Amino acid sequence: MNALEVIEVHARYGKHEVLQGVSLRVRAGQWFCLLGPNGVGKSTLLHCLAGRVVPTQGTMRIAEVNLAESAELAKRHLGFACAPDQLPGLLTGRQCLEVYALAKQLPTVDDQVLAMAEALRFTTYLDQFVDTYSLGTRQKLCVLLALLGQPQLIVLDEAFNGLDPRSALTLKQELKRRLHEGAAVLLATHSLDIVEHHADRAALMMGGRIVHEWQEADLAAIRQSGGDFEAAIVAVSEEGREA
Amino acid sequence: MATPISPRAFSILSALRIAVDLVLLVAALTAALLAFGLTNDLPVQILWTAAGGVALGVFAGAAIGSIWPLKREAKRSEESRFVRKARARAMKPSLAGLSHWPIAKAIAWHRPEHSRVLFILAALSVPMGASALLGIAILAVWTLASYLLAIVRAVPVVAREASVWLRPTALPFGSFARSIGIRALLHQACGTALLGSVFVLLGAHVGDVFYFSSLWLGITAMIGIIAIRQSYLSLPSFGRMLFSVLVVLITESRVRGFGLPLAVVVTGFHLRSVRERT
Repeated sequence: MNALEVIEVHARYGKHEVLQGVSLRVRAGQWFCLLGPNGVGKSTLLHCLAGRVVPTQGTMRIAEVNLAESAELAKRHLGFACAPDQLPGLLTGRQCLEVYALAKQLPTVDDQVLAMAEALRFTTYLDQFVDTYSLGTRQKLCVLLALLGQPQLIVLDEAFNGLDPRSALTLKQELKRRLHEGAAVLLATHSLDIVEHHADRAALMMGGRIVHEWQEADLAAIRQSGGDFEAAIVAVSEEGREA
Repeated sequence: MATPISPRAFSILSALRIAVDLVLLVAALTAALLAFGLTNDLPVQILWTAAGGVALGVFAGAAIGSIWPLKREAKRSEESRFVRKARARAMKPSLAGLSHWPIAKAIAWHRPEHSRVLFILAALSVPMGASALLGIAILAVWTLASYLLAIVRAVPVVAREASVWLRPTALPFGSFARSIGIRALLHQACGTALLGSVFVLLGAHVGDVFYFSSLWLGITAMIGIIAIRQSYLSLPSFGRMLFSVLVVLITESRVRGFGLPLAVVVTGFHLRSVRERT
């Protein structure tokens, strides 16, 4: 089953067309990394999935549900980690989790998310206001909110930024566990280490479109040969620029 | 410190900046006091004694304030410093946090570094020779009016921030609007009732107070609903709010008593149209 299907999506901010026909598919159980320099449209694509930007053209399906036609139903399958600066500073971590759980129409706050909060050593911050949190602590809350409700598609934008190594490892393990349970992860990142060690597939975005995709076999080959993914991506980036 | 300024030079600069602020504050208060006293034929000696008292109070208060809050509040950032925390309890899905948010915003805006300006203005607006009761009533009017205006402003700000934060979820408009709007409207209604009571105590006619209170509540509810609706639909709200308020006020100024029903109609229209769009 496709956890995410993006077909020829175009989006613009005013006159500037940021996405110029992006297409990608992420199957259930896959960790998909979206790479690319700043300003090429990675976050815009994620914002389209969250409903913050309305595409001018194209189709997006989350867990086979068309986002434009049944936004409410499609969003029930979506776990989106917002940017840390979009968290409400005057709410406590506990209130954020409660509000998000109700907004996702859950009967309870997941035990798995509470266990994850414990593992990330976040529970001591639960009753403090978000505006007193450090970047790393905010990042943990963003991730916890995204994981609420067993979403079939987990969308993360630079979610490892600001996390300490132990928390980053805990999050990677949790994402792997969710992948085994059938969820899919879409991660926009600059961290090539994650692509090299954890991703099933990856794509490079340049100028508002996907210019190269690495399939599972390609990534496995790079890993087996002990190859340098950084060199591979730089080479593809240069080709993309020249094209 | 990441700049090539020595800590000593930085401390001196900070002290100078604070001292200049304090001197300007004392000078402004003294000038206002002298201007008022001299035009009302008060003895100069009393005025200078009062000015000296003001200066002493400002500098002593600044000295105490520079030590005390740093020790107590070092761990808490500015915005949430005076916001009351919800009682910790077992976690369960709830929109209570969302409904507290506009109130928290209004309280955060009223933290001392902002509201001290309000209190200076309020204190200066108390007429010389007024009774203690009148003085307290005037201070209460300023405080309540400021709080009510802060809530009016907080609803659109919170609606915009909350809509961005909750956009990836499937929260329906009804729940979104209720949770942001109802508690703010309740505070608005209680505050307006209190303010009206103060005006009645000051001698205003009960009928007039009731009429203006109702009109105020109608307009604030209309502003709130427009802001919440527009934010939920990711549309700009300021122009629409301004236009609606102007239309209501112009209608009211032409035909007394028509403003409130018009505000109710505009509110209903916005509630209905969002249901159609979603």
